[in-house]
Amino acid sequence: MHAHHETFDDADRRVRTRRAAVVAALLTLLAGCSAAAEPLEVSAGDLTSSTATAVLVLEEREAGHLPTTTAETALDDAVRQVAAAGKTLAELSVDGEADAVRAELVTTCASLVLVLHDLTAALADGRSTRDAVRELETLLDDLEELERRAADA
Amino acid sequence: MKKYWGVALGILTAIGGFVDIGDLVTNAVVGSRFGMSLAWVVAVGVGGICVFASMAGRVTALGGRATFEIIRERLGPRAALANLIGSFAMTFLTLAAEIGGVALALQLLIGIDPRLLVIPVGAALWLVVWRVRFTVMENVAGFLGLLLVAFAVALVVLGPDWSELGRQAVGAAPSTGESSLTYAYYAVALFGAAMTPYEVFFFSSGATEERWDERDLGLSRLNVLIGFPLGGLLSLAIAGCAAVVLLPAGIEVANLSQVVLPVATALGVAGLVAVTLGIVAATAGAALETGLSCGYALAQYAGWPWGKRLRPVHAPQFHLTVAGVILAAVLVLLTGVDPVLVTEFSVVFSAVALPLTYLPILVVANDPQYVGEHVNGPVLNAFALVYLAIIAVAAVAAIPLLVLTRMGA
Repeated sequence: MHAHHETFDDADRRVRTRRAAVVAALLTLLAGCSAAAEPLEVSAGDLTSSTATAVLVLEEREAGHLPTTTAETALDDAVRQVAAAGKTLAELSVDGEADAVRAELVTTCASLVLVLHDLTAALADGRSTRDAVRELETLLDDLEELERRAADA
Repeated sequence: MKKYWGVALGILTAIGGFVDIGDLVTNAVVGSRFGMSLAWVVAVGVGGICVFASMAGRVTALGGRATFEIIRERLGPRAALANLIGSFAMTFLTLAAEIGGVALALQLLIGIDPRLLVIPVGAALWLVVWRVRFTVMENVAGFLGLLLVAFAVALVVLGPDWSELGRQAVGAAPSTGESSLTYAYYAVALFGAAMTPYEVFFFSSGATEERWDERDLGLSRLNVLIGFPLGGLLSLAIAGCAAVVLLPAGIEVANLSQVVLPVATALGVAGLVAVTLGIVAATAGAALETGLSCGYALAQYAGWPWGKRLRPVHAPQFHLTVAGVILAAVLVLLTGVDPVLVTEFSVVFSAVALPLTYLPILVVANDPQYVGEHVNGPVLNAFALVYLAIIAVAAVAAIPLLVLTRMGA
């Protein structure tokens, strides 16, 4: 009888140990597989993407391919995305090189918002946006470099 | 001649009606991030919707009743309730996404804040459900939805390197800078967008609305087997446009305004206006289909009289349900939630709900009590079982992938 009880206990222990090992392995796998980019990298990517969108919108607008309403809507969307990324970056807590990149991104983001607001006003007034496009292209180069640094940080 | 016209009309509306906000957004996002490397998912998804929609059409044409009525009778109220809850919730989420899509598309044309547009859009949809005949509603939305062909024309005019696009499609691997899990997440989302459950319920209930019988089986097959694959080609054209214009520029699609930019680049203002009108028609048509599908599902489960062909006084619960879900979707959008985010959630959760929709259809399509001698043959059953396995994998993987990749970030 006693031997049977020990056998059941052993079996129970074995199952529990095996189950714990499977759960641990799954948790390790999940932790190792965390595929999402870090918030710093995501925000940098959002800023780059929004700026590239604004450049394309303005180029197409200058080429006469976009009506003003569509261009304004696309710029508004870009401004909203930049503002959301800026908020995330301002609230982000990181150390070392990542914090230095974050600070530069916040500064670039502020410049970007100003340029995009000027552009929206220029579109509404029917003014040329060529100079602003050049300014945006410079910011885009800066952002691409910052995005690379954010990925490495 | 009338017969051929009916066939052509059915196919054209099936093409125009295939693409909805989920297909538009997901294909554009995928094209802008992964190029054409997920094209195989669209092909697999279109194959799946063809297999199951043809079964649902056959069950309805031969049984004279819509799929949900038969599911409840065949599987019992408890299993059918699980089916109802899953499908209804997903269809409601899709409805909110479609109404948001109409408002966003209209904003591109007239520049009015989409939050101000959702109330008139909701009212207009309810008026159509109340006053417009089913066939007129279907044909107008489907025909105007054909304006989305502008995506395919734009892709040709852009003059891409076709061999490069083909290489991406055959490569079927994540592009540089994207992880395998993010790639898998978007594969599931794209599959969910192609096989949205409401499409089958609407197809089946619509067949009852149009009083299909055994003589309409051929037409039903043609609509599905020609119309849906051509609609799938439209989806690929959307991804292709994004892959050619947005991916090289470093633009990741997050807004509807970015989805139409490649068409403006290729075709100018006329193309942009055409494609935006196509988006309005496609999303409005899908909003009508999802609103009606909510009514169909609940009424068919509860045994209420149902159908757009019935006046509200003869099917009050059905019409109140449709009006109620449209109102609820409008209220959800008035909270300021981003319709593109709602769309992304709806396609991923659709993938979770897929087995609830497709397993019962397979069971009923094999029951001679409902389809007589027209039960599935062994080849169709083999395809359906392979698809059920894919559906099960997508359903199980959807939520973990959503969490792990933080919605594909």
